Amino acid sequence: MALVRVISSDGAAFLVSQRLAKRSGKLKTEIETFRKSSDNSEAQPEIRIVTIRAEILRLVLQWLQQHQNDPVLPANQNEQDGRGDAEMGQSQWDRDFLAPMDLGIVMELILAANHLEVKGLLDITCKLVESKITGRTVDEIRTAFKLKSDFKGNEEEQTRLENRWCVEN
Amino acid sequence: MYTLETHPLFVDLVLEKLFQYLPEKDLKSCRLVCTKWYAPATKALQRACKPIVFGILYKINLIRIRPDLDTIQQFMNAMSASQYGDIRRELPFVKFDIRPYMLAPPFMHLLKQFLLEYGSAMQSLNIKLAFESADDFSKDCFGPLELSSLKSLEFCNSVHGELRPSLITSMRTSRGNLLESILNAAPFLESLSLWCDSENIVWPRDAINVLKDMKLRYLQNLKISFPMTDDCLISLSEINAQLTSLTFVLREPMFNPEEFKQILDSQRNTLKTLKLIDLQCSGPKIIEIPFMSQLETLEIEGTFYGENSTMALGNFSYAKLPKLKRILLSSCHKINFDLNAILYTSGNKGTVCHTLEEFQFSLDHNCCDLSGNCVRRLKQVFPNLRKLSVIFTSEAKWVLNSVFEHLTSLSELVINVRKCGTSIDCALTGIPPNMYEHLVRTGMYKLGPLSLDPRQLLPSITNLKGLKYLEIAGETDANSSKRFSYNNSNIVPFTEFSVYMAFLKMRRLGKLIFRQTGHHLPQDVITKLASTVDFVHVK
Repeated sequence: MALVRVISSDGAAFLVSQRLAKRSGKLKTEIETFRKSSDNSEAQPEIRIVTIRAEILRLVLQWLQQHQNDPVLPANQNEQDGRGDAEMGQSQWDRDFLAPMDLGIVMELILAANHLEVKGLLDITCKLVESKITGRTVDEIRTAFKLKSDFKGNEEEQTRLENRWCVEN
Repeated sequence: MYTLETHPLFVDLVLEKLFQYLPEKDLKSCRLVCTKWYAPATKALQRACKPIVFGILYKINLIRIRPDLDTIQQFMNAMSASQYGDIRRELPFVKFDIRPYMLAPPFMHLLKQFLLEYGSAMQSLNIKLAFESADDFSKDCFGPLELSSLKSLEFCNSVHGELRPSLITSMRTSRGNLLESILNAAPFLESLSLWCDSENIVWPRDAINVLKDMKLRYLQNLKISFPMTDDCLISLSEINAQLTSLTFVLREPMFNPEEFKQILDSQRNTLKTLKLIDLQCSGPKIIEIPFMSQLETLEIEGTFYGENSTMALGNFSYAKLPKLKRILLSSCHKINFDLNAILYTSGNKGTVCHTLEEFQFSLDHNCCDLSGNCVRRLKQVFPNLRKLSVIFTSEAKWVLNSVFEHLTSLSELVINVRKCGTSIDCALTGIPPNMYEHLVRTGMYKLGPLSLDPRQLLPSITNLKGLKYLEIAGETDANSSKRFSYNNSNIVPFTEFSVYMAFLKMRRLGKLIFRQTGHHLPQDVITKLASTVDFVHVK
């Protein structure tokens, strides 16, 4: 079985099968680039991911492992389709997978899934964060994400005034 | 470890993704959270928001549009205080629906100011002009206008002219100049919809002539909803655009199928979606669809008036449509639309369509022509049919059972439920009404496997062994039945029975959706369902 070494920003190396790695759009491209530039077709590719630390990379690989037999979703679907797939893909395993994570980890996962082009993981993590926004007030959102308002002068008040337009029935 | 504040990538790329599906209300909150969220939330809001409507429809004796200059002025005041022009600030609303009752000079002045100021951000514009104004638009009536973001334009001439038809023929306005000025300023326009009253026989020629002289490089979607004479149709076949989607409303008094075929011919290499709406036809029509190499969707909507109005597809063959994937028929009444062409195409070639994946027939009333034979025929003509949408009414109970009998390889099924009382349970489970009543009364259906006499049973939904997606939709909750003054028999008593007797047995069903039917299902049944299928309940 052809393997590939994936190395995290903090230097941890993960040895995974190329078949599994290729389910990430980014890793697939990297492996193919390595193949083209390498004379030795037997050489084991080594890929450094400088933006993702070991803990997060392990989670991504774990998710890929679980979903290795899912059909690959095209990256750019129209909105309607993309949505449908996100709902379809959310299995009990995914829910258990995400349940113990705090929001910081989930956000790092979103970044990682986006960087590595793993659409399914990106969808379920985004959905989780969305659920922390939906139906909440501005202050509740700020608290949940540990954010502070940094608007100057009357900018916030002005934005509030604009928001009054186009109210949904 | 990066946090939201310290990691710029999060803000730039991922917030966009995150906001993609949020509704308007939440996006408005997100704009207020912090400055890093402001821009991506505003961008998402631009897309999610409905158009801002200037002008209010009201009804006193006649339907009128109230002139609403004040609102436009207020909007401009509110937005100009935010100083858009600055790179950081973005206009949160980019879709507008302008309905001037009259285009008297004060409105024209305001419209010009409005378009000049916000035109470059505007993505969608809908202008509905009333009839009565004696407006006079010069060529280039807005001067140096730039609508460089405008993707979609809907232009309706005369919103209540039909109430005063006597005025129409005597007056010719210069609204062609208005349309031309807007189109000239919008080089990236992708969608255009044109509409006018059926009595207005002057405007179509003006409008089509404007189109004909225009370079419409990016135009893909065109919708024409007015009656056209032969020369209009010919002009339309000569426009400078390669369309992927055409919606055409067939309207009397004049319509020539030959010229219409020329229009289709002119778009034969690009058109993917063709929608025909038959709105007002007094006589029979035969429409021929020529060879179209890219056509994927054929949609026919018949809101026919009158019994003499019939439409048929002449010389029809699937060999001419090598990429056809979907046929969608709605409101096509037996008397008005001839199904034969679609189900029994003449000749040896083109009688079978291997590419077709989806078939939708929503016959709201009197659909008795789609007998069991027709359903069986669907299987022969479309051997690769994957998705089917049907309407289920009390008059058409048998539709489902013949689907379950013949179309067993379906993977997606959408059932629109209308006015049917308890018969939906019987249809889904294949259990005849007398047996059904007994089972419900005794509650036996909850107790597990039943030994029922198979000779008495009709085909049930469990016959669809490969079904992965099932959607059941209907106007069924108490409020809507009140609104449409339905009686109780129209409420779908949804349907613990079907859950126990059918859905729980369908192991391959990936997704089950109920629309507007949920409150009848007890919580424990929903839980039970959720354990076997990926159950989604939409209110």
